[in-house]
Amino acid sequence: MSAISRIGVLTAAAVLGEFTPAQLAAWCEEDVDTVVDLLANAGGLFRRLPAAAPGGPAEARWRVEDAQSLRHAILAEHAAPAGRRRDHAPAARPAVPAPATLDGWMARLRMAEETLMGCAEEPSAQGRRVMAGTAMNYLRQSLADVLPERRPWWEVDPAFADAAPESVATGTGTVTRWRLYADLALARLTVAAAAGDRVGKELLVDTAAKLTRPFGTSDVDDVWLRRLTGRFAELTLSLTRPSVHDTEHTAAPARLLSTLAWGRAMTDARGDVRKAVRRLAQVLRAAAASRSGTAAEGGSTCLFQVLDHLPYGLERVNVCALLLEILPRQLGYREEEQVVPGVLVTAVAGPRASRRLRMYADVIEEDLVQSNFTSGSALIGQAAHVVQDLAVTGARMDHTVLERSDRARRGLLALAGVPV
Amino acid sequence: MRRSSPYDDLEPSMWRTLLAGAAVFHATRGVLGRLCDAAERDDTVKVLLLNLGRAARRFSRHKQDDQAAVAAVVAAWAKELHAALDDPELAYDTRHLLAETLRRLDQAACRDPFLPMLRAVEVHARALYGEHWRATSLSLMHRRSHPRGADPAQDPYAVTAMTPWPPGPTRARVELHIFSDRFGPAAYAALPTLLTHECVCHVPARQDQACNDSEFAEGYLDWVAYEYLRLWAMKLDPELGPMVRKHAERLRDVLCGDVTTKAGMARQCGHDAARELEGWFETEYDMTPDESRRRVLRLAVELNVVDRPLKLKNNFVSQLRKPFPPYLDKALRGWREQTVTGEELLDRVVEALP
Repeated sequence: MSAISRIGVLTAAAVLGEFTPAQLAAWCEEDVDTVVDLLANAGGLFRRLPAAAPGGPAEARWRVEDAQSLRHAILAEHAAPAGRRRDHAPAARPAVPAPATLDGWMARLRMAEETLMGCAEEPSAQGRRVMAGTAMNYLRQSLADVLPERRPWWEVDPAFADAAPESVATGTGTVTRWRLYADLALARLTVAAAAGDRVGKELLVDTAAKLTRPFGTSDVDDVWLRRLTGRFAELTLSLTRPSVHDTEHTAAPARLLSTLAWGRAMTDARGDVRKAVRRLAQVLRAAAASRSGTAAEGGSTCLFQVLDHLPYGLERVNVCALLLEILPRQLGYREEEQVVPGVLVTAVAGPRASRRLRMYADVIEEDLVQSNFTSGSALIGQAAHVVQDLAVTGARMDHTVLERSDRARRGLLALAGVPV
Repeated sequence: MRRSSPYDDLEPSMWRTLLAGAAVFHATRGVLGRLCDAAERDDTVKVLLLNLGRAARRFSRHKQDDQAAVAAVVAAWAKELHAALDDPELAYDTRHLLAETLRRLDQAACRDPFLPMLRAVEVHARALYGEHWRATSLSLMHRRSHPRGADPAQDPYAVTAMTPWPPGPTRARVELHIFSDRFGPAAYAALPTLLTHECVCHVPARQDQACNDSEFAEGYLDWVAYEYLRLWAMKLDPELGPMVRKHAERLRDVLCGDVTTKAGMARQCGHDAARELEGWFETEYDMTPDESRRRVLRLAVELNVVDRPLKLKNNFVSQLRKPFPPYLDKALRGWREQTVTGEELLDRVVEALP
């Protein structure tokens, strides 16, 4: 047996502590017979254990008898003349890791971003929390690598991004500080949403503004930008519109709204993704800064929130525009503001209209949270189907509901990219 | 004489194509590495290998049983080798190589080479995982394109493997998916690498899901699987071993070179993490490179069979960047001193979550 092989067996034995010869052989280059031979002739470094009780494993077990002596033996073998070993050494590799490479830096940043966007598909809050933690680790590491002052990555606070260079050259392009800001904000929002924590409006408004800044040229394309912005929109809406239906299992109603908002922004921008991002960011800033709903009876929902109780039983509500499309005309309301144009509306409604809107919101949300679909388009299709059902009940009071709902449904499906 | 495929998911003619090619590669495996290298610089060898693939496909369709197909392919290729050797312009070393290839071709046999490869890897992997091991079965499947749609000159590895999830409590099925049109010697030599990956990373795994872009399962464990392959290659097949090692490195370069996909990023992050941990053991404990590497392997094997969510294992991997967070440093020292188990190590990761 060569010295290198012998070192391999001794080292594997030191790592395992107790083993069968077959186990030890799996940890080195030698076969079982060679391993047994070495164990038996290692001068008391190993001890063969007594045979197992009847019914136990048939193969003999060995144990390292003296770990300290074994370590000395390994080091002594290593200290043998280099020439003796060089001839037998298997393809050598550097044992100490190379310094962080640009590829590694970029891979960690992209991994963080992909993990954050992947949170959209994760059904459990705990799973999203773990994923956000993973992403935050990579982001802290990426940031630590580019900060002028060296410090352990786990001590790097997201606020340190202010000290990052304006732009990092990656070998394939650049990554700007704005991209790091946006990623870090997305990670913080994901953690907050998973934990059910409140997030200050300032962070949402500030992040929305940063989304419109240049992200550099490395790997930033329209699809990526659209995914990142879409995820931010979803988080913003789910954080500003917590819902009794939006349990830990899903953020489907917020995803429905964010997909609708994105669709509207794309329509307004005539298909230009970068313009749509700016448009959506503007809208989200307004949505984040708008007032939150008070707890109405039964709690707020994502699609319907009561903002104020007004005289004469009137209520100021913030509601998904889609629900107004299927409200019978007898149940009056007055629109005050388009919070997210074509998607979220602030309106003043009478008590019956308010109750009816709340009922619609409950039905749609309950249906969405039980959905197995995760894509925004699929959720739109599902919502369109429920809207149609609700319209049928509304049509008993007002025959125009069916016509209006049909128009709304076609608009929805068009946004989802379904030909109608 | 077999008229059907031994693999349920493979048509008989496709099976015969793969069998005939593999039979030739197996018989000539002692010179296959040199043939591969020669094909990169010598058109005669390149054409010979291409024609072997063509013959395998042609005779597999025309012959009705395995033995006849293998015999026909071997005879056709021997004829081509003879013709090449008749060329007086043939370079001396190429002539020597082809003559040796021809001599070894006599040993080509109509025997399934795929299942024995899995069984050879399984012997070692079972010894690693002990009671956690799941017995394996093999499915051989044909795919209609290269797994990465790549230029065969840059990426000749027209084969992938997977272990469908979830496996049974005690059994797992390993699938090899081969693009037969590009099943050449390099792809053949990569099979032990793929099977080792499946056996080390996935067959015994205890977790909640499978995910092909996990930095634990496809990154850290993948690095570990390459290390085991380096240890096992010569024991799996002493003749093919050197070529297996060489193509394992090349395949790793191909796969790690792709950082445009999430799977590629996960691989790179996991490999980097394993190297960081290796360096940590080496510097913190003054271990030899050999021992620190094996500590990384042991921790991987232990964590792989702890029944915890894969996302949590990914989170652990994401923290392996030196210097390690104090809690993790302490937990890893505890694991090294055998006062903390792999399961407890993952518990500490959960406790440290934001």
